[in-house]
Amino acid sequence: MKLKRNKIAYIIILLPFAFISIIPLYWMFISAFKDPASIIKMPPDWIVLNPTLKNFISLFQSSKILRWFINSVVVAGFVTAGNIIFDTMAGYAFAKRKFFGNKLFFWLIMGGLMIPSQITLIPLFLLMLNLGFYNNYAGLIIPTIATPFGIFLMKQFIETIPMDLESAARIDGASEMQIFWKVIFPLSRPAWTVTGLFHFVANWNSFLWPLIMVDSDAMRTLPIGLSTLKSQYSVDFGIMMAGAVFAALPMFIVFFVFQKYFFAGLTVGSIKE
Amino acid sequence: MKNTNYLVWSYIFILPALALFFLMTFYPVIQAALMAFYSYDPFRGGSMGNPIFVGFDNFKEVLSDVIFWKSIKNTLIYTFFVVPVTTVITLFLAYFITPLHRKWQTFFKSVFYLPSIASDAVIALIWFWIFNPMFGLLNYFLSFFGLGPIFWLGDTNWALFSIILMMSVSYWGMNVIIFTVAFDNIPNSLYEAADIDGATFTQKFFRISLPMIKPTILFILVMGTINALQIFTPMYMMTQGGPNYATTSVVYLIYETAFRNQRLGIAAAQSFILFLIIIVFTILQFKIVQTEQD
Repeated sequence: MKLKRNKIAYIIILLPFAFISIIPLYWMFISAFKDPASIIKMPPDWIVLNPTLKNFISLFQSSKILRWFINSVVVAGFVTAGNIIFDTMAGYAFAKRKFFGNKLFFWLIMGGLMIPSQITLIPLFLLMLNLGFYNNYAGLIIPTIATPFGIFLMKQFIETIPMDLESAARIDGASEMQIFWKVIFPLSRPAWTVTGLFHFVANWNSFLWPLIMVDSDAMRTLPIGLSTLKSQYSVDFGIMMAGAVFAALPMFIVFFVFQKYFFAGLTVGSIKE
Repeated sequence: MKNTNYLVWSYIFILPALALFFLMTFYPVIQAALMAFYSYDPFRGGSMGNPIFVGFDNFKEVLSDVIFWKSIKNTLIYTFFVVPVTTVITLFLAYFITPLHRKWQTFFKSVFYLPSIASDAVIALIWFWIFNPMFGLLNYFLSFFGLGPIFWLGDTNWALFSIILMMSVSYWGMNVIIFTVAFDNIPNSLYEAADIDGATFTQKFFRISLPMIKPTILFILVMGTINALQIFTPMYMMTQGGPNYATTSVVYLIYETAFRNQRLGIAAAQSFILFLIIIVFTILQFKIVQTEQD
């Protein structure tokens, strides 16, 4: 199992799969910088011969891409912040605090994990419409500002924090709010980083909900904006790829900065600070 | 210690999560079940604000709709291909990644994760071009073997397969990472004992590795199936459900029924049937794994 020779064989087996995985993204990146003649050349150019920013310039001139970008940042940012705070609060209460209804409310909320989002889609849409949240940030942010998945991860992690820290703070005269902000919240940072990243990525990439909740071009998030690019420039692949790069690059940066948190998968407890 | 202040704060801590759950999950689920029995269609005397009760009429209409059955068939074909193929490929990839040196692990995990972290819309846009009959990479590669050109997304026989192909090679990241964590947690002593007994590579894989990570496989299968049964984005981005409904998935049909044709009651009935299918599949998968363990 531990022979060096085996490992080289493994790497050779894995490489073609790595190639399949990365080639579409590589194609997207180089094509965004190609000029129109090179874009549709057959056989294709595998490197950029004359890099140009033309595609990005026409993208900025002819679409609201910057506005879509800001919308995505606002929506994903607020949902992430909301989940970090509310999921940690609820996770802490369910993990550590004794109160009537603790188990009942926890399992009720966990029941939400079993509900596929498509079943609540239409009633939730009508509810948002009636609350006046259609076609604005509130409708895109509020429904996912606290989630069963995040609460579950936070509860699992906070259960491993020793109880004495909380008791010591209480004996020192800390208020309940101070115990949460000064003790629990800092200690559970690795877990809420994972929860936060999960929500940031999921909401940055979310498609169906913003598609039905948004009516005007100015309120679109990046993925919905991209879908309009496709119908507008059905054969101008350069502009489409420039838009795709614009949507994907921020996620790639987030991924490389927080790599170890992504690699921990769903096992929050195993993260070494 | 359990004074009023402590209790009040306990409820304050769970209040946002609980309120959101009742408003955004509990209420809509109840509402979803009710909506399926009402008609919002003006020609039946209903309206958005004032629906009329129609009993099982919505279900009758949905179940006698040829396009609905076609969407079920498409969704099942999609699920039966994408979930097993993705699971087997990622299991295999993770098995080979786990023993590697840290640097190689990071390299492969990153490469496999990147497409999953780019949004579905980005992946669909790139592949929309890859599938282009004239300027796409796929037909270019096929031409080396003297095959094609295939009109991938425009051909009723190929359109659904095209989406299956794209989805089977683009979303490996999360699975690979979950499987590597699971393989990593298998105690080395098991493999050492097997080595002493002279077990082969294949024996070790099927007798030790696979049984040890069974719960993880079940988790991946269940999550994958639930997601696959709700497939929407590629259909919207690449084919709009066509050509001739060849790529109309159930959720795509629900979207069309509710948000293009404004037939909310019918869409609610369609959602309800899909919900039942999802539940049946989830229970089946749990049962299969349980009976195997007996």
